[in-house]
Amino acid sequence: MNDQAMLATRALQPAGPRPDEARLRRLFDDHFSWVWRFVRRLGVAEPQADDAAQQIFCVLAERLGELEPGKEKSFLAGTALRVSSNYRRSARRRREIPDASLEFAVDTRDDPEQMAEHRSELALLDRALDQLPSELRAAFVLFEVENHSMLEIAELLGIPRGTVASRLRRAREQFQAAAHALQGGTSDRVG
Amino acid sequence: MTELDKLRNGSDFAARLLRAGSAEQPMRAARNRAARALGLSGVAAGALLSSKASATVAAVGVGSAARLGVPLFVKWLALGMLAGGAVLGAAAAVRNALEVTSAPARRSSVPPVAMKPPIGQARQLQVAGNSELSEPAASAAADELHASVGASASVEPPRLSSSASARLPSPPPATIADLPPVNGDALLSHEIELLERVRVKLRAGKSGEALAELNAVSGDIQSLMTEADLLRVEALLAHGERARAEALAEELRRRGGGQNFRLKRLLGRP
Repeated sequence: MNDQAMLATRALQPAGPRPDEARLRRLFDDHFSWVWRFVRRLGVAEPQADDAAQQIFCVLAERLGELEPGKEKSFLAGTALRVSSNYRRSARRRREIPDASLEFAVDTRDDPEQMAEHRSELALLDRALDQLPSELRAAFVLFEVENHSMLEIAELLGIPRGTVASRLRRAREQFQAAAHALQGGTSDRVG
Repeated sequence: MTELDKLRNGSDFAARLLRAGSAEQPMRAARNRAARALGLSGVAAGALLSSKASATVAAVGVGSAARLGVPLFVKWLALGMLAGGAVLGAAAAVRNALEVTSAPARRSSVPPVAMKPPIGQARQLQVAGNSELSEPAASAAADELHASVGASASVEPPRLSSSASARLPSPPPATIADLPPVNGDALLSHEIELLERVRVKLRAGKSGEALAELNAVSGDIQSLMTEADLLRVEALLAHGERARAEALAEELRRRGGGQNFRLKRLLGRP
């Protein structure tokens, strides 16, 4: 766990039973995977994504009392955008290079061949997504990867529907171009 | 076909990448860790699942298992066994931690400069000198751990190599009261304090005393071993034992502790 996540976690250690625990548990069960995947697609490396997702839920736990029911997912999305941005910035400062071999070592979900192919696809996906500006990337990921509707994305990101549509259009064009460029150099590995 | 359809449903490269992104899931361990950090009761989803599995197996019995179907029964049984294994593993880890904290072995192969006092005596001196490690508190913490792992009333001393055994008088068996606190932060604070004592003596120009202090506490240093070794290099240099300092520095370099810059600075090399 990195320092940020550790501090956030320590600050939130409860002194007694929390009244919002059931609500927090439900939100955690419903949205943890979504939050984790969202920060991954926003450019946070896998080991840091664990910490980032935890940190996002720590922030949620802290502010849960102030949040209107039904607004939690928007809050999670907004927090995820900010936290991911911080993680990306600090990763750039540290010039981290994700070690794919380490990720291979702990992933036991598929057989090795499938796993290697899946990892390769994910790496290429992230490289293609890296070509998109962050505001286009968020809308594109929510729509194309998480299968949210434009209306939901407008609510999650707090932007007008028309803006979502235009961002998606531009993002698709840029993503296709990036994927096409990647495909040229990687057809022997994927596809 | 629209651009959107092509992306989402087509068999082209971009669609494959997007499908891979949709399929990615966090590891269960990460999810469990986050749940624990949030203080959500039940701690780990895996543990929850396993305890549910065990309860289900106990409740439904063999007859119900047949009704549920063999594959389902086997699945729940396997989960229950995994939970049991996890509990035993955790107990073993706690027991190992007890043994390690009671008398850690020194990893460095460079012999100490001064005669090392018996481990038990050194530990008692440290315990007496540290207000955080008052005997009742250490004893209470140790009792708690002791009860959780079902250990016997005393902890066996560490096994020393034959040469080390020959040099040292046989230490008395460590008792629970001799154990340092088990809390990680407290252990680290304890180590920092021990090394600080060495550093103060070194800064005061008492390199011989610093080396003696370092020898006395070296068995208790675990997390800050690299720091202790660097202090030893510095103390040896201050004590005029450059050859031994360089030998230790060489060993540290071989171990790859990532302290090359500090070593070069200490030894005055470019």
